[in-house]
Amino acid sequence: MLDGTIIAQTLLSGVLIGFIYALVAVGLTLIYGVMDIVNFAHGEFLMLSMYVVFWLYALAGLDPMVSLPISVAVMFVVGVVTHKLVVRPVLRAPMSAQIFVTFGLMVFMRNGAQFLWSPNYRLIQTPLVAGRLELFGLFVGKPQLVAALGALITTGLVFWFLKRTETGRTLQAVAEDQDAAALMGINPDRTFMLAWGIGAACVGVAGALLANYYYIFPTVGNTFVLMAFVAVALGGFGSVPGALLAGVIIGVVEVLTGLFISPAFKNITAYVLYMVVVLVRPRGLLGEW
Amino acid sequence: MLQVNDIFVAYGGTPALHGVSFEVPAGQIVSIVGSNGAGKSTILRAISGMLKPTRGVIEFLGEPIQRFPAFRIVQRGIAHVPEGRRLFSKLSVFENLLVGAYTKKSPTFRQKTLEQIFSIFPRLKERQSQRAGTLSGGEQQMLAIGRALMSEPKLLMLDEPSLGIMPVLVDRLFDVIKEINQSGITVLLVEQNVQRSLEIAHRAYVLQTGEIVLRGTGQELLASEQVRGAYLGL
Repeated sequence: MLDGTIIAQTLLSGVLIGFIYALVAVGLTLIYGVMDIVNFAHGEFLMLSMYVVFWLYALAGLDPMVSLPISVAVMFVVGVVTHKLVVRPVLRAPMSAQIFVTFGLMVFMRNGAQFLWSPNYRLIQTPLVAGRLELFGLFVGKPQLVAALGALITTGLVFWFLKRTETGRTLQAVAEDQDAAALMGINPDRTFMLAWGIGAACVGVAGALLANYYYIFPTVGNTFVLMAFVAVALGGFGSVPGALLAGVIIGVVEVLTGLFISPAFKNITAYVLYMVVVLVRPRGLLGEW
Repeated sequence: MLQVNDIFVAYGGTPALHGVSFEVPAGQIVSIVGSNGAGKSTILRAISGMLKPTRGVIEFLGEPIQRFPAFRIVQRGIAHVPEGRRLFSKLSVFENLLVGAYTKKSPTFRQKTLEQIFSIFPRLKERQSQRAGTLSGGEQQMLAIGRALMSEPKLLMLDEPSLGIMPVLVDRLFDVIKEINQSGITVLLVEQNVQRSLEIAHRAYVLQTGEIVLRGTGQELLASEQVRGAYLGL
């Protein structure tokens, strides 16, 4: 029998995972919004950041919460380097080259991880944040709660940065019209680099938070990034509040499907929801165009 | 101040300017007139670095700038109000002005310049928290000019400022251009409104299919048979 507690418990876990989807989606939507390029390797960025945290744990004994800032810094650099070495050379190339270049990066990173680190599932055995606690009669794992709160705070910080700082304004200006922004004295290329850095740093946060409780393996990014893609489209390309709202909706839809239909159908309902939005409201829930 | 020497510009193989030369002396208003497609906008785009000339030299204050990227040319003191205004429509009026001051970080400078711009365009002050995309055509043009002035330009280049503006506001617009010039800013103006732009110009050029065919003072060109026949329909 389904009672209220089970439903509430399920909703809670849906919201918690939804915040993670949102944070992964924010990175994607930021890169897309500023330079109209979809980063198909975004899931692999997430995977890489989880391995960074894992190896810092395995080799140096650092807890994921300690190595989180390291993961963020490493991923920022990975984002900037990706722009310089992979994306910038094809900016003037045909559209198909721009699409396939990050797709190729995805294949490269995924297989590189298998080659270097084997396809084995790894887990951080004894993280500092562990166990569970009871909230209003509902049980919630501490790592999941910490991850969700961390993702929510990071998403809020990115939003604040975009809306309230000079550099954020610069990103918005380049996102809307890069030629006009250049006429204001803004160097578009530096802004692109920054968008890639921040977009990748977002998954640097998500990866470190997930490493507390999630298995780490070369294709781990898939699970999250597919939902993040749906969140970006559902929320509206380029919109941070849209990504947050859509991330939570997808998380909730996913767990409710698992509860009422079958866990095997989780992805299907999320995609059906996405297709309905694309048909009914192609610009997404909070999209601007 | 600005010296354009024999520049050639092509769009994907199609030549748009062939051997254009002219100069903009400091403190003046210089107008370039000509029909649609004559290459007027192309000249401004080449000066501001949005297009690279295939040949020729553009000198600003004695320095060749034709190889500089657009964002460096702004730092040198040239502001370009592009055709169609190209505002950041999702940002507020106030934020658009701040982006315009990207090259000038000093808060006191920004405050002072903002006040000057608000005194020229009081409407912008009233609407400062409104999104730029919600402004009327005339207000958008004021904002585009205001945004360009925020970079404290020595040379202000205006591309078709009267386009899409209510006729009653056009007079006011040309007064504002004169006012800006009198405050010490050199103006390079590209217009289809030949009559008005020649009236306020110290010096003017007529551009025809990528070449300058006539030059003189604004008054001289207004009196010329050629201009009166071809552009003023007199």
